[in-house]
Amino acid sequence: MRSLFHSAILGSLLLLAAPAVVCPQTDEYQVKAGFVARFASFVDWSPEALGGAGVPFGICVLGRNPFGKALETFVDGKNVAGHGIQIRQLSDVRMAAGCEILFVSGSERLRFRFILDAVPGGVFTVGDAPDFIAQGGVANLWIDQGKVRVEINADAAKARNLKVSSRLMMLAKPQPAGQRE
Amino acid sequence: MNGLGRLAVCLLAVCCFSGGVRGQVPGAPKNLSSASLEELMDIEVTSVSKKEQTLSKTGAAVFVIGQEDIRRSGASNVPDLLRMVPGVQVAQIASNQWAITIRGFNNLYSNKVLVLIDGRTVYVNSFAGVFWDQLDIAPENIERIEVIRGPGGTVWGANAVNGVINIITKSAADTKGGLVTASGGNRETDAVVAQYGGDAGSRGAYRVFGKYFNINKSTLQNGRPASDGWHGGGTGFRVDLGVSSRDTLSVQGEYRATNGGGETRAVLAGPPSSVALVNQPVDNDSGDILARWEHTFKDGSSTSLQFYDNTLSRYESGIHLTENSVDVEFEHHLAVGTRNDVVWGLGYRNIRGTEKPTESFAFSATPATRVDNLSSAFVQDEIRLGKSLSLTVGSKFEHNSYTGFEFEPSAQFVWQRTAKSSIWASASRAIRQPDRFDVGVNFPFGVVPVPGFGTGMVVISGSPTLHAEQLKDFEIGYRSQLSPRFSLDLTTFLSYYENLQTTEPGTPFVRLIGAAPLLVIPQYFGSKGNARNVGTEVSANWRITGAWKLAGGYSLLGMSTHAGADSGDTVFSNLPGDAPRHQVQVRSMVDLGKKFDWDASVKYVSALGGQNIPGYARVDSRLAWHVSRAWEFSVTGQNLTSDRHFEYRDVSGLFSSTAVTRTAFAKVTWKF
Repeated sequence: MRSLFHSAILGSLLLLAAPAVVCPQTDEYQVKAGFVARFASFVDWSPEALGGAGVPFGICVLGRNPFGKALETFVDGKNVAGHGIQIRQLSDVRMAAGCEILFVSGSERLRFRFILDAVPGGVFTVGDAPDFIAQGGVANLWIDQGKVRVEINADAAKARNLKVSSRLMMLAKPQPAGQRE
Repeated sequence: MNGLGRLAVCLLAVCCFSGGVRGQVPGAPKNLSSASLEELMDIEVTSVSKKEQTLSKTGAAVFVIGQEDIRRSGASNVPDLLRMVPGVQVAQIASNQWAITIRGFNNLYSNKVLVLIDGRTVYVNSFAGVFWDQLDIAPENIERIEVIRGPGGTVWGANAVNGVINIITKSAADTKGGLVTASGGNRETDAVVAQYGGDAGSRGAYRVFGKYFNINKSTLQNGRPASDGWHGGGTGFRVDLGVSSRDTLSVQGEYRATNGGGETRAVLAGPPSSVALVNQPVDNDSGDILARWEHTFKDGSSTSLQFYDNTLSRYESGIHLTENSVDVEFEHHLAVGTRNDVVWGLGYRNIRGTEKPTESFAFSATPATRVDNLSSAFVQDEIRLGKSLSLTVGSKFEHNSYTGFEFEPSAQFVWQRTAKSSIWASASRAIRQPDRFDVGVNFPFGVVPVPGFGTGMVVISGSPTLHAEQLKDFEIGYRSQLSPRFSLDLTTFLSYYENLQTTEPGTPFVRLIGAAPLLVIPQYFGSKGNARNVGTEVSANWRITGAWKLAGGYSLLGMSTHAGADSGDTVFSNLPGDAPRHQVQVRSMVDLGKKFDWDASVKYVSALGGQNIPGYARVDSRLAWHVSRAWEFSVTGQNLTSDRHFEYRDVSGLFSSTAVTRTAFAKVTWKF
């Protein structure tokens, strides 16, 4: 018993002494923000979809924003076919006009079907919940052994008249059914 | 990947993305924000859950037991899960009884902690405590358990004095498919759970489940077999629906029945009065149903409306207790201007309780049936004072049937020093309203020799004039993600209690039973106790490698209690002897490749001086084999280092403690 107690104390001391050696990892949503921002260059946007000159390219987040300021750092100073990028936070899918990419937060999970039915055509929808694709989303971000992967719903993309680049289709990897828990 | 290899990759990542050391790794981007999609796919990420994000902004001592903690603890019941939380005292009394509290005042009938399951209060109004044996939730269905140490009265109301334990079960959307678990072992947890979930139409999900368990009896302190064996089962469902793009509806319900036993001390009036230990069955039936509707407005504000009904029927210690609660709560969360985040709510609860002695020795309550109403309103405003400073102020306003109007204000300052660390301070008032038994119990407690009279019977009676117990609490805390792999949480508190319940002597009198005189020595509940508690709680998480995580906790509790000068309670000052001064825990979670987990924990609890319980260390360990996506097999050992030990002893002898023994069990999980 006594030696156990000592090892418990030693263990907690170890805990307190720990932070000297660290091995940083990157927060999941830092990287996912990068995916959301980079998707802009993997879709062949038609000039009509992008609107006239001066109309910003909209990257929108619907529901609770998990990215903090990370999306902004990825789009800073960048443009899509000459259109400046604007990040918008939405509380209702009916505000999605002008969004080219729409991230639907996991906070809206129970409402995915309603939201995805109401999203205008031509919007590239992104989620990070297991049933996002099944509910009609275009791209889903998931984690495979600590690394972010994307799966693409080709049918949903087609239905939305989105021309997804073959390079993205090759990088895409479906999430195994067993992980959709 | 071995540890060194992983370390090397991480160091590489530092070089790649810190932005400080450029161009040293060929082909690496200068920083994250210019990384290509392919490069992003190569970055190893940590998942900081929603809970941790919100946690860093909370001005209270919160510990969250997450799914990984639950799975890897090997625990099969809620009390064992709570052992990992610093500041929480879990002491098993018998196979079916626990004394659980936060920051002291532990007892089988601990009454200063509020316990909720999915927003439904599970404390029993009659004694303001919890029947822990009725919290039978399959660990696989628990999303998380949030433990708030310290008062939560502003939001949660009366009885959230020393803390709140908030058990949140998984949405049906997260439990689609089939689940069967079966476990068996040398003593405890022969258990089966069967569950199936699926889509409810195209816009929601459901699950239905059933479970059964059987736990064998333990032994008493004198080595005799105890009568605390028990078994039980239950069935339930949950449905989560998206009703529109702005509305969700959740409905859940459960019914359970358990049968067990336990040894109770019976005081037989006589005369002459005498005391005997009797075995009494503990038979419990309970059911509940809850519905919650959540609506989000266009401006981002949201409301929730919740209704539940709880029903309980329990035979124990020679009484039959029933209770039915109906509760309606409304909450509105909105932003006011750019600086105020406001939550306000209204609640109403109606509780009907009955108590009927089934044995002559049992206690009675007056009135035998009582209906109580509890009406409440609360408002809380989180005010952003600056970029990194916020002040949250609020109060609950309640009206209860016992002490009338009560209010429970609090204020919390949070200084978000950096994105990853915060310092907070809080001051709050909380109350525990008297319960039905405090006011109306009539309890034959014991027999004492009286010179010249033979014996006298001590009877404890409730008092209708009790005040609400009151806490004024002051805390400071520090929380930091010191590195992506190491986090630390520190809290220090100072708590002043007034009007704590005492037992005051009354004037002895003689009652005639037939022709024979019985000397009654009455005692009445009073509100004359004071206490001052100080303590500190530390918890830390350290992810040593991707495959090895350590979590640790320590809590120190210093209690001093004294009854008022006009009090005749001579044992009130002994209360600190029921609380361990030190508790230390270390948990280790190791992934042995992709197929195996090995987990171990050591918990040391210092002596309970007032109960003659020596300090003890508990060692638990679990080895799990993920055979495939569908199958998992695990073996768990609990209390590995001692054959048997005791965690709690009731000095008054009211109930008999049984031994906590070395336990091993195997569990198989099948998902389809």
